[in-house]
Amino acid sequence: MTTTQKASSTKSSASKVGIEVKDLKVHYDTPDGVVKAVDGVSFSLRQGERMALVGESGSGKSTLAMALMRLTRAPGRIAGGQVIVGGQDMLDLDEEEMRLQRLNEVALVPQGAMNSLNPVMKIKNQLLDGLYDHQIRGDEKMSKEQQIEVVEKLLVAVDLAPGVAEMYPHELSGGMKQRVAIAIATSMQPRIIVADEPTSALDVVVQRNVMQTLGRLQEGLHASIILIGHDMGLVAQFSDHVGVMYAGRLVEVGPVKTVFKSPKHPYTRLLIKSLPTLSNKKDFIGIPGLPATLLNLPEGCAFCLRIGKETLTKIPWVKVDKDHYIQECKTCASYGK
Amino acid sequence: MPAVLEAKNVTKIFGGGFLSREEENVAVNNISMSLDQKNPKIIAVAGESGSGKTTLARLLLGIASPSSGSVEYDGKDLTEISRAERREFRREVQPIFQDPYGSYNPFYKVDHVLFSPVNNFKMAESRDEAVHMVNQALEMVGLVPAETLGRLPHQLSGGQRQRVMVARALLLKPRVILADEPVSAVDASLRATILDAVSRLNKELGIAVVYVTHDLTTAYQISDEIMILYKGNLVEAGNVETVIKKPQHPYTQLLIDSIPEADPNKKWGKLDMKKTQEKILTAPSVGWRK
Amino acid sequence: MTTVAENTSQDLTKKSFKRRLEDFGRYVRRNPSLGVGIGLLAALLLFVIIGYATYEVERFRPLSGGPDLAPFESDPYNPGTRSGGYILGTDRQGRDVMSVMIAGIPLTLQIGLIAGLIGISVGTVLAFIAAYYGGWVDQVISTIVDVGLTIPGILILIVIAVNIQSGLSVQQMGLAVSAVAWVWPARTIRAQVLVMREQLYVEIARLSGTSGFSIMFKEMLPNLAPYIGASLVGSVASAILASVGLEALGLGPFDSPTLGMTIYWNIQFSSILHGMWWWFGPPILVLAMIFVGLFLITAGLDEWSNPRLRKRV
Repeated sequence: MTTTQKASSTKSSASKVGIEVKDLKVHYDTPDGVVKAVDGVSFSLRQGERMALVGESGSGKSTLAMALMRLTRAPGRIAGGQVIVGGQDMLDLDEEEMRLQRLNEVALVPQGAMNSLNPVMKIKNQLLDGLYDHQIRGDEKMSKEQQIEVVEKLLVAVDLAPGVAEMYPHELSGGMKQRVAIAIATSMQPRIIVADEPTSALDVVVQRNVMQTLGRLQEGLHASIILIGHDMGLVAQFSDHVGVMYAGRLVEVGPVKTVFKSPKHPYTRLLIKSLPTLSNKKDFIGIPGLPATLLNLPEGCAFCLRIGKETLTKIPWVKVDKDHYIQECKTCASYGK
Repeated sequence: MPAVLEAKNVTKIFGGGFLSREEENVAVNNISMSLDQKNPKIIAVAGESGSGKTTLARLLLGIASPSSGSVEYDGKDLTEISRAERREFRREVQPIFQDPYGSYNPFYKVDHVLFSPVNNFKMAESRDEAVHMVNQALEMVGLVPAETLGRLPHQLSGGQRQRVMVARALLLKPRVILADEPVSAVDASLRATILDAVSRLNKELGIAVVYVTHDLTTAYQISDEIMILYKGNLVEAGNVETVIKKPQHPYTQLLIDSIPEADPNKKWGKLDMKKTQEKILTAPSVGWRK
Repeated sequence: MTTVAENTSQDLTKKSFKRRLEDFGRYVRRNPSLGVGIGLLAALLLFVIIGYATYEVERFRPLSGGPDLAPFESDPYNPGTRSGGYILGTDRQGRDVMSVMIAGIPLTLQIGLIAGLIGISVGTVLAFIAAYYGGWVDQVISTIVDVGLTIPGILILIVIAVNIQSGLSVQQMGLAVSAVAWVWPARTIRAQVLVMREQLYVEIARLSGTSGFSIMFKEMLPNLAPYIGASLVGSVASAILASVGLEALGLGPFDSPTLGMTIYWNIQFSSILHGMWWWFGPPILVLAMIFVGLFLITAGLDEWSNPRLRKRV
């Protein structure tokens, strides 16, 4: 997969590669054995583009997001692979270097960002914290006026009133807190923004608003964004590319339009079919079976197990269209067509 | 014939009142709805957080009592019915809650939640009959009894857990099922199976369903009628096809416009946010549409 | 009832004994204080068992030997008994200190267990009644508990002990201490029940027609069992402390060689002034081992018993 992906990104040499993930593995050591939460994921994303990684809970998408930030916590560990941003493999850096990279190169809009803010700190100080920490302004501290100016600029960029600077998180609504989290994530103009289910707890109207703000900022910064989520609707509306994850592995990657129009992997097909729409009734069905258990998963096709079949040999990556690749398993390829 | 369950001009106010420093909060403002006996339907109560939909559900369940107006069960005011009638009401109006994990006592296997209502309400003559009833209910919601019974709650998937809750409600042979966000804590890919089970209860067993949700797409898929709530007020209601396809109230329009559809060619957010929000503040309620 | 169906496929969830043991082993490795605490108490019990099997425990009575004998000093009054004298010497009244220890440890633990068990049981029942029914029932119980907490327990105990005229037995001592042992558990368990009452599954049980009694004892109690278990350990420790306090004041069972009574005799005969370290040393050491052991067990059980900390075993 690595090679095919790489080929695709270098072909369109006009746009630079923003982030390249090669064979990333995150393992959890449990008493019952090793759980491969992320099992050899590779993809690359051009600078300024949006990619979504979707999957059910337990597909490893959030674990992947944390690994991209190198925030994997024990008992999890990054067991191998590369995460290349700006020619630098993030996994080669030591802790201190990586700390400086966060926010500066790669930034995270965390899951349930509303709970990620410090409840006893003014919004202003939470915004400035990251800047001070990364010594953007050299060693000298900013003057009061400069501080106010910087904070105001950050808040206005996410459609918040400058007055929010003096407030505490509990005085803000969920959508506003999410905007603050986005402001913090973009405060250092990162190259890559990882957004882990950024709107999962918000109402649809607020969700749309927040996503549009995030999109606008990302375009302004010419950053790449990796959206982690389970909502195929949001993915269709927001991103340019989509990667579908199942059981810790990518099974299909491609441009949003082609994947939604003609999904090639049976799991993607079912995922799209399982979504209710407003256009026609009775057009949504559930995915049968249980999500895969990641413990002692065989090398072969994980989705086959879900539908009661078995393919034990390693599945090849196949190019089906421009930028569109799938893990082609002969056994389940036509399932649910 | 009176309706099975009917809300007559119910209003629920939280806070405020004598000696209270909190401001009055009208959670539900003068809403009426009724569930027909002869022609049981699925009615969706849709709205965002703060719309009062959950409060309305609690009023209908008799967990909360209205500040004014009344909730009537078989034509009798819930606050005035006898102990025996209340027990009957408890059995006939069954809830399904949002959190399919918290609904289970972690100490027991899933069997517990299925057998205890059967035993408590003496639904079965014998053990065999109880087992038979449970098996039947599980099959009705698309579960295989042998793969479901005898497991602990955490050994089932979210979708299975929620379907067991549907089966639990079903066991009591209710006339009304009140489902409060039954699928919002479940993976999108598993929602269809749960909603399908709920829908079958209505179609095949004639159970009236109140489906409380924030998600208009699922509401559209399974319900016959829909009520759109906004800050405690009913802004638009009626036949689901009419309301969703030709929304009249600006709030309904904004909601529908904001839904991310799984189709990259149908872009969301065509409406202008600010203008629409101004319109919502002044627009009158559209009322019930055919 | 439910048992029919629940038994049919039990093997699905039943862990093997070996597996359970492994789980427990892992838990202890993560919380070493639990292991150390259990180890301390086990060592004391082992001492008692071996003592009863090999030693003349009957010599805990006064005048079993000569008075004031140092360890291993031979007995001038009873030349035949034991060539090397007494392992831990004798006290002022001729009790064999070793025998006193062997007989006293289980007696003191017994007082603690009686009082702790009664205290926890009464406290739990009251806590459940108060928290589940609420309203005036809760008001009455909570007020009694609140008042009870402000009165020093030792005061109540002294009143009780003084009023029992005929010398106390060990069991009566336990009962007396239990009179104050229920107050604290009642309060903490009530708080836990209040939280649990709001759980969705309690609501579901109510809507399933489960009676209030069944909800309390079949839905909530099993989930609180770990917490109650850990509270029991704490209760036993405070009951032992209270009983030792009473006994040291001379209000204990005079014919029983409990650890507290041994302390009392030590005080009466000024053993420290006489330099009889073999007499005052052992009861102090043993009491310290009991308290430290029980404390370490409570601390070790914290993760297991605290519903908020207990995520994975």
